[in-house]
Amino acid sequence: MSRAADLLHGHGEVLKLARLLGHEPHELAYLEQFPPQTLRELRDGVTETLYDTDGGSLRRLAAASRVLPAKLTATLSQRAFGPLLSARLAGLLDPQRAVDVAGKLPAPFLADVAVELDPRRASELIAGLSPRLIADVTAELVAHREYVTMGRFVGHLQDDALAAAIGAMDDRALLEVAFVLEDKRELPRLLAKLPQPRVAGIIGAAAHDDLWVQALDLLNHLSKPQRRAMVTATRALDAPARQAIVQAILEHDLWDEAALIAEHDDTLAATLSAGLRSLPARRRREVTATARASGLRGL
Amino acid sequence: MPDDAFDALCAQLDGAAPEPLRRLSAAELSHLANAIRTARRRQAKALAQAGESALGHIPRVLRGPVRKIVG
Repeated sequence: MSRAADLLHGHGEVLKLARLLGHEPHELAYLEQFPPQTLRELRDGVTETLYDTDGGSLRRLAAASRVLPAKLTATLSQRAFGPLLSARLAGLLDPQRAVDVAGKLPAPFLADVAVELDPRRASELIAGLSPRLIADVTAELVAHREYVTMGRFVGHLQDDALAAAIGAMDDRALLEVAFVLEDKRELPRLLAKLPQPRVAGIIGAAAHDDLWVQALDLLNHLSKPQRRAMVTATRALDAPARQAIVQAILEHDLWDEAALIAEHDDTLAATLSAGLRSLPARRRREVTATARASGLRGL
Repeated sequence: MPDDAFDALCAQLDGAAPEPLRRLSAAELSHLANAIRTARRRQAKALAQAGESALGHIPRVLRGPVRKIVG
């Protein structure tokens, strides 16, 4: 992972932790000095602690809901428990029962619950939700730019639900979600569901919103055919957008990613060489050495 | 002092905190430990309030059995 991607992932982890603790992210800015893995470990620890706190009371509440009709439990979720406690309770209910209750709740409320939920504790519930409901909840999360939340759920969705979720995401959301995905090994599965025009759409979104660090990080995790499809899509971009890719590579030292692009785009080295000429001599020498060490030829 | 603050953070996490966090200052470690403590208290308070509020929405005939289970 590039240094730039590392910093962005670290920032994403601080966002997740801040949400868990009910704080503003800037109040935990002192944590951004740590690598994403350390912050993930801390967040997992906090999640465990919060789920274990009051575990007995939560289990009794979940047990009480078993004697109530699903519709009444859904009403209680909205009017008495709210999203936070509903999220805590979700993993304690019998999965089929939880699916029945979820089916009686409106998508905006379920989206609020999703923000608070640790999907690892409700995997069976998530797998049991209909693709239609998943799409409705995803649309709500996209509207609120809850990319981090969606990134936590992808690994728990069945294939048909994943396809429905992707259908509810615009191209920018898809790129942002791919970047913050909890388990990057899920990326090829996520991208495999994409119709070809959406690959070009992701590249278009990266160009439109200057999200090249995210897009180039994505390249690192794709299969070779998927990578080729993405690089091919960049060739359709106009000159300023292609120049923006070169700038992102130069600015953030994304040489491993550049080497991956160059495997499928023999014009990149020449464009990069032109970009390198604008750098001071010493920096140019350093960058050229790093680029060559990454396997980039023709500079 | 930072060691005490790190231990206090570990206590809030019911065991261990990631070792690299020892690099934080005592003030930062205390802030983090307090943030976790506050989140736990907020959750406990929400739970207590939810229990009371829930009973008001449950039909009278079911309140007895629910009270028995919740305790």
